[in-house]
Amino acid sequence: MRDTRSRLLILITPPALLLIMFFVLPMLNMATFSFRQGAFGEERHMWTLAHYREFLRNTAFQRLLGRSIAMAFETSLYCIILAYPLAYFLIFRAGERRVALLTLVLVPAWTSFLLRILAWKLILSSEGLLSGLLQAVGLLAEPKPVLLYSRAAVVVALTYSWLPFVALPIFAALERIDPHLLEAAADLGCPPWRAFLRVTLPLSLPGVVAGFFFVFIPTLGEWVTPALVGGVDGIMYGNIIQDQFVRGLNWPMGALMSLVMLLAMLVLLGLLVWLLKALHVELGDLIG
Amino acid sequence: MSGFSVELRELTKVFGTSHGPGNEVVAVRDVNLGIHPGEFFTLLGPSGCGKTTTLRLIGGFEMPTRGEIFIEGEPMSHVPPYRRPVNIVFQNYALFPHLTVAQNVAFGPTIKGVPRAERERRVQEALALVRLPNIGNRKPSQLSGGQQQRVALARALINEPAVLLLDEPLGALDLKLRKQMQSELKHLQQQVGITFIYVTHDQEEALTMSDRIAVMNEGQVLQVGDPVTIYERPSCRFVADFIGETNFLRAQVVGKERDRICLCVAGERVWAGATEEPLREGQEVTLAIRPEKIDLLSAAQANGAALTGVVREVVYLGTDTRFVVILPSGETVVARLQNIGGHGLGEFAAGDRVKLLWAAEDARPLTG
Amino acid sequence: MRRRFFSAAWAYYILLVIFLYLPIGLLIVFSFNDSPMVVFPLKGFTLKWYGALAQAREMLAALRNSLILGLASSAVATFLGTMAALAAVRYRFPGRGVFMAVSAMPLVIPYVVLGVALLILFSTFNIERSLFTVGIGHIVINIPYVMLIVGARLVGFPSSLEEAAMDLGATYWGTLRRVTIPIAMPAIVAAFLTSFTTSFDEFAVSFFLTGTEVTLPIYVYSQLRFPSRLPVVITLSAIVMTGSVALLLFAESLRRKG
Repeated sequence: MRDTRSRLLILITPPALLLIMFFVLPMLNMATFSFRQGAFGEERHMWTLAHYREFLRNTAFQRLLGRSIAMAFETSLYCIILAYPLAYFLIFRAGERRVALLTLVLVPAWTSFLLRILAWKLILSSEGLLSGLLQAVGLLAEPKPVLLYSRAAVVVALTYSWLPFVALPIFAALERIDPHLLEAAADLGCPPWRAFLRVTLPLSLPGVVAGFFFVFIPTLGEWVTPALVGGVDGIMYGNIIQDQFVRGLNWPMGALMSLVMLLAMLVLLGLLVWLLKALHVELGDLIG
Repeated sequence: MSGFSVELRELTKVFGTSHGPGNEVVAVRDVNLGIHPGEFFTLLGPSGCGKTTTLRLIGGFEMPTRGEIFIEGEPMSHVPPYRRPVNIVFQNYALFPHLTVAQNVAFGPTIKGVPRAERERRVQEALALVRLPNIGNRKPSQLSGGQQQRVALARALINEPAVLLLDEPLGALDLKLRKQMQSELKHLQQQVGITFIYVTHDQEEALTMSDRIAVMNEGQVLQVGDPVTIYERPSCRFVADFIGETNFLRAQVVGKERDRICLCVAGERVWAGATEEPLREGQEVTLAIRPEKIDLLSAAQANGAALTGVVREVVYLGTDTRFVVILPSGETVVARLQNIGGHGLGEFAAGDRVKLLWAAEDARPLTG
Repeated sequence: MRRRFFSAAWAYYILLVIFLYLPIGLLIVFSFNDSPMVVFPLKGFTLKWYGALAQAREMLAALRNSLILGLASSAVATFLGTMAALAAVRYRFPGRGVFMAVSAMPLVIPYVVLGVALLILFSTFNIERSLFTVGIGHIVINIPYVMLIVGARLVGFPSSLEEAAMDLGATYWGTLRRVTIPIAMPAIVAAFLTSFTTSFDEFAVSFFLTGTEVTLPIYVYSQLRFPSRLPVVITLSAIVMTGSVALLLFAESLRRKG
């Protein structure tokens, strides 16, 4: 018994210590930092509520946060809409080659994130591929950026980047479905589309939800993609956080903004989990 | 009208493989069967014999390569499963994990749009029928194997199918539960009066439950008959060997009488029952005889038509004793004697010379 | 009918694959393009950007930094993550739920928040920003992934194997060394490779924590403003992409085998 405890302590102490020092502590420290006057010199030791007042007064911040949430939702939705049929095709139509075909889809996700975004810049810019293509077919009169520096460009580039990460969990969830269940549904009178709605879709929902989180979380915190292809229209909440540390040098304000994002994220995730649970019961009631 | 509940005509299923032609596997070959309404019919055979494929063809999960399936007189070969008047109980039960027991059972009626009140009444009835009231709100994962099996039965029976298909439904249960479910299933079938088509590789299960049995091997039906016929009068060596234990001896036809045949086995003359097909004198056949049909006597006391051999091994089995006897030809014969009144156990030991006797009708000459 | 749906599904798959590969293919094409401008139309075939790589001293230094950083931070993350996975899978203890929740938290927190929080922490304690601070960030990011990959493997094999080893006289740590770790090795290697590629490509956190020694993604980002340097950056990236894809295919095959 004593042995077991000491072994456990030996195993758990180093990772726990690291996580406390460099994950829990920074979060708490960031929270207190948001009450500081400033990041440097005397201001560093002065306490204030000014940043909170400023944040509440400036509706631009709140609007931007709302817009970023909307963009994260949109991107997740597009990814799921594109990835679900893909995963479905691989599982139910591709036979033994499904793993090879899935790997082919995953490979682009393993290449440099920055360069994939850069590639989109090359595609969308005025001398880019899309502009040239549209000129060739006569839809565009002169070299002009297509979509570049807009909200849409950010969503397109991010959908592109995350698509493989959504296909993977949906593929895994569909792979786990016992084919006998679909036969049982057919046996009990379901034509294929009803079997899909009543059996395949509900059973693959965990994969869809996992895929949603894979996209939603990093997209909400995104600042690099908007900085590269978003322009003024495509700016996201993450960009103004980054701004507080790079240009504005108002670190406490940045800390507060990060804190708000963290809070928003946790609330949204909690809401979603709750919604799913409620929805699951609903689904069950509908059928029963 | 044929009057059959299910009729299979020259049913053939060939599975192609993705590695191109030349790799086809014939799972079911020219199967002809007529199954009567209300019958408990069993497809029996070793794994890979085509019994499950035959069942899946009837259920509509596979399309036949050739041949036709009639259910209640209607051709069904190209009707999808969801429009066939049959239901299936899968080997792994295939209960929907995201639905409760009641929702699982109500699945069929829900799809058909049965109103809620009636649906609930029928779910109650179906669960009562399989003796599982009061668990409607649980999820399948919270049930034992035996309970899951009953839920799968209720989910199929609630649809009042013309035919119920059962694919080794007791295979996953332990021995004791299996025995109990065997008699319950049989009673249930008599109670609801639905045609059951039952797939199993367990010969004992087939013998105790079925009205009729079709023994299959390598995609073909070898024999169809009631349990007594299948056991007592196997049509070929495979059936005799697969169901119960059988001794096979090389034999030659020597002569015929009205209802029995004289054979030469290991240089001695013995009698066997007459066969449907005529045998000619001098024809090589296989003599099949079950161990429990053989009696042993000491070589000195017996006379008449009997084989002589030497006991090599004696194994005590509780209710009876098993003797392995070697014939002069080098063939071995197994005999089982019940342990009653000093006969059998203790009477013979390894090395003893014995005579093997049987009633003529218990031994069958097989040509196949 | 069925046939037509089949080909429609295939067409969809092929279109998506083109969509996924087009941007990457574009970069590789430009790495052979004989023009200092990364714009259409293409000018002609050249290998000069590959030749110019050798002269790009700053970039090579960034590449070296990224390699060192990736190796070191993934080694630590793999080591600590494996310990955490062992504790979480094989032991039941009070606070286990809290421990698992906290160690999984970095998965659900946007990188910008993590980067900012660590930046403020290092500044509060007057710790100079360097490759070391970037490494800390990468370790925190990668521990949850290592725990997931190694933990899945540990759950997958029965603890009776470990009990058998101890029954045969091995001590707990001996069992760990001779049975548990070797069996979990494919997952541990896969976790290391996954961590390495994550660290190698990571930008959003590194940006806040980097000092004077920059990593490759930071260098690439800084060069994006100078169009004339793009061709060389793209060329190096084409090479790195090929390398990391090969590495991850290897990791994936290990994970599937395990």
